[in-house]
Amino acid sequence: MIKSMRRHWLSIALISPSLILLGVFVYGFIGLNINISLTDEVGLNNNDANFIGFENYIKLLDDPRFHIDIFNTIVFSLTFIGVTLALGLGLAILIDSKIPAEGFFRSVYLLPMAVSFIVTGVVWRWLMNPATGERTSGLNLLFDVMGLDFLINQWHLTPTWGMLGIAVPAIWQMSGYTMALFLAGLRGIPEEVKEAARMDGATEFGIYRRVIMPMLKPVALSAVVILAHISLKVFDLIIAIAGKQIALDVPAIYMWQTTFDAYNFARGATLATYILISVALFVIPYLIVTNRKEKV
Amino acid sequence: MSQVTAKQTPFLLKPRVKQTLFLSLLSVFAAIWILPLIWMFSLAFSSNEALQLNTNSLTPIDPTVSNLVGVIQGGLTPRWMLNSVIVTGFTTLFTLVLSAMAGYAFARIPFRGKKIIYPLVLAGLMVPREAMFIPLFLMFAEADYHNTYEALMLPRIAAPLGVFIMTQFMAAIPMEIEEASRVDGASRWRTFWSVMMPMSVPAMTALGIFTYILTWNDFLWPLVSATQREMFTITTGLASLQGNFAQATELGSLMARGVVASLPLLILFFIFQKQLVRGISIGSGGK
Repeated sequence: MIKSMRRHWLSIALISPSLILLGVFVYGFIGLNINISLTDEVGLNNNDANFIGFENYIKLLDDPRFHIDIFNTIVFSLTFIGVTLALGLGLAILIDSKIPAEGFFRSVYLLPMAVSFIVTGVVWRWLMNPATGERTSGLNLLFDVMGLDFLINQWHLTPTWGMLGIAVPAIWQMSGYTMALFLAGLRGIPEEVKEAARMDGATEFGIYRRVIMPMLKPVALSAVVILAHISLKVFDLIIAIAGKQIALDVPAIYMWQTTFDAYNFARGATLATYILISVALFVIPYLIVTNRKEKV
Repeated sequence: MSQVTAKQTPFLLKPRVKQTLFLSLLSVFAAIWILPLIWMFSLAFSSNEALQLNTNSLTPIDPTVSNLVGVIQGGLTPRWMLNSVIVTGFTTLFTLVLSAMAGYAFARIPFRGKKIIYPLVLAGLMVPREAMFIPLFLMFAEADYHNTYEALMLPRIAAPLGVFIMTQFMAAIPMEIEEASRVDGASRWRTFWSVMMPMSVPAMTALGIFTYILTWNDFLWPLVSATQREMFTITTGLASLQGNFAQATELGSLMARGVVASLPLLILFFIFQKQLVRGISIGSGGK
């Protein structure tokens, strides 16, 4: 009896610091955030905010700026997640095929991960310089020199599709990470499984399609969730590349401007909740799928 | 095993041809991947005057270290650097200790409610921090607590990722090792401290480097919380300068700041990249 008490005492002592922090700083503040979003709180030290229900949520759905945000986020997410997955998988397969200097290639692709989005933005802002004529520079100049004039473009200043330009550095930064994920997955597939398929007369291509790809599904799923998590709240990269007075609006920037420039806390909190919901759309199915297999 | 016959390889390539093709593909990508960083370093070592005429060289034009010296001596960059080191260092330390403790309990100690609490930790992993920012900001504002190190660190220490990684790792340590120590009469606390902790060093290194990188590069919260220039981190500081360089007049200095901001991490990356790869692998639910 005393022994079991002691055991519980220790587990409580070990877990409670993390749980308290998590409870307060994650779940508690999500609750507070939703609370604010249901009021008309505007301005600092405003104590007479009124409860107005879901009015903020409904208003935002009619807001043309929010429509642009959603469009931009979808364009960015699809491009970023799609290309990063493809590149990550492709590089992982190339590296996994018993290539010399494997460690070198892995480091080079992973390297951008250690660089912050701000530094990435500072560098890529100049690489993707939209200036034309005499002042052409960066990638556009490279395309010009190589005779690939059709590739020259306005990058983030491209009307409507500017987010595609923002996706380029994001892809650069996260492909190596995705590659490492896939590589771990590839290395986890027992050689016997491939061998068995070979014995059955499968071609290398067939082995990839029928044996390896299905076994990589869980890794791909994790990768999609991690990348979606980044893309749905992209912020730093846009600030660093395009500045904040821009046509390239996304929910995180809208939220930030409305909250910290205009002190419209209620609307900011509503935007934050929409971001949370969009991430949850990816995460909850993922957690259900993984939790089914996993036992603590 | 790698020696497959031509018939079995895709597109009927001979192994040698296939390897050359793969190698050249990898090299092309490697070149593209490293180019932006080389360019950043090269501009950082070029003189600002020369850069007004030409910014497209991959080797320093009119080489100089004055940009770098200027960054290290001038302005608030050293202060921002110090802020980043303090905030990142303590955040990493706290995250490691708290995550190891919780990870051990989740992995090894049976207790009531675990089946409900653990998924909540996992779900916390995926909550975008934007969803907490506004009440956080208001709370710290009310307590007049912005522009302090505590304000920069506290929200970061609630780290479900760390708990997850440590739980995964400790659950994979063979039960026999722990049992042997318990049979010898060690208490659970002692077992945790002198058996499980030392065995978890690989996972803790991985988690440590991961946390360090993420915290160092953190942007939105420091931007919101630290409004006095003296309290900027290197990331927000760098971003605040980007706006002042509307034209290419001081491109060299700007890139030098980029170099200074990322160099500590690049060095760490080269020392700990094995652990980092391992952390990615554990974090994705792999082995």
